Amino acid sequence: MSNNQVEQQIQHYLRALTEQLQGQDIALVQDALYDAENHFRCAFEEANSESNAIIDIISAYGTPEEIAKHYCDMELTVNWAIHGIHGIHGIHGIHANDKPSVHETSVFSIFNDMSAYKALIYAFIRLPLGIAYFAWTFIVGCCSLAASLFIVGLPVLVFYIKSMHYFSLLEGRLIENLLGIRMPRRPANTAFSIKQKILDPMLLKRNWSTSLYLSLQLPLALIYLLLIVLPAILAACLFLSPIFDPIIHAFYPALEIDINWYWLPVTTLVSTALLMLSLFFAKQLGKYNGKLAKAMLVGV
Amino acid sequence: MNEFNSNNAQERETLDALTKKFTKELSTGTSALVLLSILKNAKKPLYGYQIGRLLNTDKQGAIYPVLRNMEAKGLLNSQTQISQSGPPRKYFTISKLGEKVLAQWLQVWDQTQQLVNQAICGKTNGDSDVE
Repeated sequence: MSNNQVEQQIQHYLRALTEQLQGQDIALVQDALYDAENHFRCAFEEANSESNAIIDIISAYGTPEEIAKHYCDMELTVNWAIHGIHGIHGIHGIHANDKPSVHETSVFSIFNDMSAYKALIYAFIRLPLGIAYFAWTFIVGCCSLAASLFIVGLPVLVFYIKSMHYFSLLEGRLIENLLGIRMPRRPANTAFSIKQKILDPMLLKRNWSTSLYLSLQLPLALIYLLLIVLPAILAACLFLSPIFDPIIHAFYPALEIDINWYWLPVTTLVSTALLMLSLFFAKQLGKYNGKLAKAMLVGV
Repeated sequence: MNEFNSNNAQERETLDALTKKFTKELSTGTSALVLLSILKNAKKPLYGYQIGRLLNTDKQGAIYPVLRNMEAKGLLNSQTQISQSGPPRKYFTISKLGEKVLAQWLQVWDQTQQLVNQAICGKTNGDSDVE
């Protein structure tokens, strides 16, 4: 069996596994494919690249049908354990809080919603991350793209494109942990030959869409700042004004802004409204951000 | 005669299905315990393929979602290392929490094993409990 046939066997299995996982969360499919491909290649290497070994390796892995079932079962169990949901929503990575329960129908229920606070943390880290992503995309990406016209920038461009893979993994982890949206848990890349290491990442659409996603993060971070971060900070400042107002005035007596303690009922009401608004936007924008990430970091 | 054969075939089918279900439930229930034990007894970090080979199962692929799940729960630590010729390998070791969990699971396992063995050997005939 030639190396080409070995590759065909692996690809045939991966196609069959993809078919069996049809309709499942795209992130779960990516994880399952990564695990299978990585296993086959590790096992093949262990077998001293003995071409005929690949048939035994693939059959020992389990049929695509069985393996697909294991992934779906595990995903259901994990979702049930984490979110207390069972059924198709669990598999498709939809957040447990997408469907509000009876207790969540009140406007104030958002204050008891842990996922809204996590989304708020996500919103707070958007700006520093957005600046870092933007800098990386424009300084390294654009410069190397321009320099690659003269060949010299080509190695840097390859390095930049390969880095997209790790950025998408980092962003995926943040989204899954803070927004509760299922993202791939493994890097989706295995490269061996020079061609695979250099050419394949350049031809992979996902790397380019990741680059676009990263550069979009700064403008999106500004929206997050306006709708979520600033209202949340303002809410905290107003709520704590009876404590901080005298301290600030002790240092800066000439400061014109003065919120006296008797304004506390008003500031409490306003800060509650602002925090509610901030949490609401954090949750809603987080959902859209998750969909965007899934489309640009995984689905291409 | 035909009816007898069809009844026999139906019974065999039911037996096969029930045995398959029991085997599956048993292996699903014990897979995390087995994986933790393998990693606890291993003297060095192991990667997926090595663990699969030690398990000697006909479905090595089934271990990966379990490994990922246990890692997410903090029972395992992992480290990815670049291999010279193959793909990068993710090496797993048991975490401190994993060791504590394993110790507790082993106690539960011992109790369950005793109970099951007693029942199988007929030592618990239930005379004292069942009228």
